Amino acid sequence: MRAATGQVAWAEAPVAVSRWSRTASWFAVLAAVVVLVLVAVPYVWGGPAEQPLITLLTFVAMASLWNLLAGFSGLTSFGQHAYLGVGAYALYLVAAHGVNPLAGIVCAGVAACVVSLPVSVLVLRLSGGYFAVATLVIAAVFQIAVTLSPSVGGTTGVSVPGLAVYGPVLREALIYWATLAVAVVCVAGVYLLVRRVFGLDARAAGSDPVAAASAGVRVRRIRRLAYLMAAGGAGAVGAVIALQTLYVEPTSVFNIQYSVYMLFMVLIGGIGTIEGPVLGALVLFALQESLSAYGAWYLVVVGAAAVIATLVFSRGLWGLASDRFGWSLLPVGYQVSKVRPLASKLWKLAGGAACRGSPCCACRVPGWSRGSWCARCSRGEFRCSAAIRCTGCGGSPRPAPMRPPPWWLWRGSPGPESMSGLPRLSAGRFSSRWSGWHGTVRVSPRSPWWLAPPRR
Amino acid sequence: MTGFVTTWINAVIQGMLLGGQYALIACGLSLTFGVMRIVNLAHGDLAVCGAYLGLVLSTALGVPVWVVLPLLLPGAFVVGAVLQMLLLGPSLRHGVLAPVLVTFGLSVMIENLLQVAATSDPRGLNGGSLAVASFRITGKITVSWLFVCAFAAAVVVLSGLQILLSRTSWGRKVRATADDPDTARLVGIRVLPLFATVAGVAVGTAALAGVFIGTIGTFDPFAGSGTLIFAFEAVVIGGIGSLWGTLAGGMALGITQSVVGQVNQAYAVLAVHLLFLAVLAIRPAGLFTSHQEAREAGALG
Repeated sequence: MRAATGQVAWAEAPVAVSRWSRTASWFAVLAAVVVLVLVAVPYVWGGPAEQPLITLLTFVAMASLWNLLAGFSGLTSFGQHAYLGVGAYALYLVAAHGVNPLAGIVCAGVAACVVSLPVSVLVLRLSGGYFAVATLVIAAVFQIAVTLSPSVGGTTGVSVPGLAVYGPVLREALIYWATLAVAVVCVAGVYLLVRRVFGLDARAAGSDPVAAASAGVRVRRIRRLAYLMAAGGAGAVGAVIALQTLYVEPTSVFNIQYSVYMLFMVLIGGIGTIEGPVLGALVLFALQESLSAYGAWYLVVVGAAAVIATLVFSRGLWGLASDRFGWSLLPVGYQVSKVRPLASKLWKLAGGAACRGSPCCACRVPGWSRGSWCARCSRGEFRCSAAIRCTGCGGSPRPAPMRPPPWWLWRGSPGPESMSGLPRLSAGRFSSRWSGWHGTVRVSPRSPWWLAPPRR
Repeated sequence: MTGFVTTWINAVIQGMLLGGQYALIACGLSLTFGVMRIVNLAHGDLAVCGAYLGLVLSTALGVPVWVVLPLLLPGAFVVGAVLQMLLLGPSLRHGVLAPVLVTFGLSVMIENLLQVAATSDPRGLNGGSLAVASFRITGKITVSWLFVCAFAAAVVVLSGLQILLSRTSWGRKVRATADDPDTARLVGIRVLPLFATVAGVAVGTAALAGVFIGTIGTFDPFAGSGTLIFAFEAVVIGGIGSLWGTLAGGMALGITQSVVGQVNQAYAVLAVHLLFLAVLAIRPAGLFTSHQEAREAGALG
């Protein structure tokens, strides 16, 4: 209605559009603290804590990357373990040529990215389930190719060279820190990427490619970018896995189990959210720690949980939590709120009346500002407190003194129309002409009796 | 005829017959995708399930597996229908990704349940005297009756499906629903029971294929994903949505595998995958489907 009048543009509407919230600020602080604690783990708890944490961190990284692919871009690839393998073997190759294995993690990511470019040309021609199986084929091709290459150890595998220069304690700590760095870069990278226009485009292309393309999204390019980045990240994770085990073997590194894990973590945690995959990684880690003794039953549970998660709570645990409590720790979308909370608080602290907007963007005067509604007519707006005049009714933003409406507006009394003998049509406690702002009180036909203007 | 030429002709014939098995698995995949737009990633595992079921029944009754087929196939039909009712149908309501995720989860479950129940030892099925029977075409080319039967089963199943789809009222309903489920519902087709029968037929063909696979070679709980990949490649090479194309695709796969295997067994599977990637690069819609048809079917990105 307001937009239709052409007076008020969206940006001037009395709502605040923001993507950051106070919860998000607190969570960012908490996340920074957690990362600092994780950085300190080798000094405090030492080796026994590092191995499980490395596993957990690789889970976190894998889940975030798969979420970028499946959750945001709609590309359900079940062959991401191909790039884990490519990364692991790339790490071996560069380490065998004398590069520091820790620097080799970056090389592995780049190598996986480069390898995935021609692959993406082929597999992105398919979509949906066909794309999924084509990625499985790619993983099978890579595995067979490695098995048939004696230069990378064939079926027996190779051990990662170049780590003997470090002592065992330092080596474990370095690998741990590298894993932590990879996980943080993956989660933060996906988050920052999804916040950009890329995220919007990717979600549009994922939910309906045709509609997205017709709206100007370059669907192929977006999909290719997502695929390349997920592959690059998977390469780095694969390199980390190779460093953790210090041995690269085709059957273990090209294991479809990794893809199953990615699926499980993202689905359980909440597909298409930033927080969900991290939560899913924690759940999977807990499951693995508690159920891995049961062997195959563990994977049965994992598969069943993925099925149930898709069918029953398709937005995952995090979706349930955020629906219930309205949490958004790492917001990616925009939210529209009526006012900007902080500016409102400041204005109240400064002794002002209930502030309905932020400082005027033209002259920085706080108070009634560009985009705030007129308290009187709820229709016009005030530019700023220096120029206080409602564009709707021409009134002042200062609360009008409470005064009763004129007697001819009282219920039962002859109104202006009935002055000429016509009956009044209003049936409520107050006539509809009463409703509106009376001083600081807004009176509506449904207001309780104690808000009624005093009768005379 | 020189021995050299005979060897290659033999490889091609064996490959064609092998392709029949691939087509037999793939036709269920093709049917499910064509009608319900579901790529059933558990299809290969369902075939392996069929093989295990055949193993249990034939061992319990002490007869060759062919005898228990009349028990096995209706059972597979019911399983497919129930799966469709419980998992696949509801998953269709959750968008395009959900069926892929659900069937993949189902595949993981089936594989590991089979491993729990039957350990990971490779098994074979008792095919009776048919399993070892063979006949001789020329001097050096010997063909196993079992391979011929598998190929014949593929042809019979494919032509049966073709006739069912093109001549019967069930087929008309299926085609109408595949074209547009909403309009089909409007004109009075009960879509959900129809989907259940289609899934039942698909799982039935998968079980039949599983029995042939189990009789010809061995199977273990994790054989399903490899089977699925081959079936899927047959579908894509032949052309998505074309039943006879699936047979041709399966034969192309089989011939490639057999001929390359004649040179070096280690490269046979790799060659099959590379053939698939080459088809994907040159003609992504497959050999027997136009690009437009495949795009409308929703298989191309």
